[in-house]
Amino acid sequence: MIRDIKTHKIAYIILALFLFGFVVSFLHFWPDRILQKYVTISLGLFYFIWGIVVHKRNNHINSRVVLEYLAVSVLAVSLLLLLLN
Amino acid sequence: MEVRKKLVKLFKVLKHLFHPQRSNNHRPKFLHPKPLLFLSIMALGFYQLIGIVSTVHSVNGSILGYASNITVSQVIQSTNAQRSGSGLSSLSYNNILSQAALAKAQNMFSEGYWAHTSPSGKEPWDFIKSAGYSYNIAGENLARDFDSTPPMINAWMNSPTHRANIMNPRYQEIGIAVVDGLLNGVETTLVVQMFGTPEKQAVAKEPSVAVPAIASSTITKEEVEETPVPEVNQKEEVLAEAVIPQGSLSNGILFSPQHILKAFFLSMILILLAVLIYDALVAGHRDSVRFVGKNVAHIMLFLTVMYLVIAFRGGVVGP
Repeated sequence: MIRDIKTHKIAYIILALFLFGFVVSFLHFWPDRILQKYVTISLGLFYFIWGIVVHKRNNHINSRVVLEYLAVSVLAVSLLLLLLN
Repeated sequence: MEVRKKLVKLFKVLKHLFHPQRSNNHRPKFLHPKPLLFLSIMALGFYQLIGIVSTVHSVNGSILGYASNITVSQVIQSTNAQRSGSGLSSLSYNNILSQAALAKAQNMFSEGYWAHTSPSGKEPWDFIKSAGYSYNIAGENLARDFDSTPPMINAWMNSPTHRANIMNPRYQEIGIAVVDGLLNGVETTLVVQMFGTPEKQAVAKEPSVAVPAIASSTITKEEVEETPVPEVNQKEEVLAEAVIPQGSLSNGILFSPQHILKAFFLSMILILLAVLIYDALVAGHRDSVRFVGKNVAHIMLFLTVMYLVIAFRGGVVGP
């Protein structure tokens, strides 16, 4: 796990920054639920693309990996969107 | 023996689900795309179930409902605290404005809407006039689904149009209604905050200034002509008695749908995080090469989601 973080330091820094920005914007836009929903969807899209790009760069990509990132993104977004409804 | 066989079988299933091994391609089955998508469907199903159950009523009341700690006195105190923080005068409680607020809340429940204007075209000042309050300027703020007063006031203060109402120096009086009920089949708490300045005082202070509406969601209207006090029917009188500054009108509700939903989602995320961490540790220990998603990234994502689920503040202001 530590080795993976060290190997992909920049990718994880980008992800951490985006997640931090997401949390700040999500809380900042409260109580405007429509904006919160847009921000949540952007999180899902970003995470999916981030996963594909990182794996593509390392040539560690196959359909299962793509599907996994898709499923994880859908799950994260669904949980937040259902809460916002 | 049979029990032992069943236990062994159960253990194998659990191992297949949560432990990386040959049978699951060295990745816990729980973390495969299909089970993850199934979790999303499960979350949606649970959300729908909560929606259905919250509309079911037993003899003793709702099975699920919105447990609100909002009280009229807290709303008035918090509103005045916001005003005094900006050097504005405090608003005094007006029972007639509270009657108007209560009538508005009851109307939203009975006609099933969430807006400043009812489907039948009744506007906030119709309720104010019907209650017998002659005003020069009046306004209305709405909120629903909040479980306590501070986040509701914060939400209003974060919304420019609602904030403009709270901080309007021309208002002198306030009326509040906090009412629990079924809005479109879902148990909720509606808070109606009405502001006003009695006609005589406002005219004496600013005799000829017309006040335009601040924004679409801030209902403000100038009235200069005398409004006759309409007769108040028995139902309104009885309901109006319940609107007292010290009291909350919330009934004993067993569970809040939002809290149950949050608990369910959190348990899902915790299980997922536990499996991800376990898988990362086992894979790291084995030092095997796998073409799978990055556990660290998934963990970061779900920790973020978990934080937001915990920190999520319900409630809607507006519209």
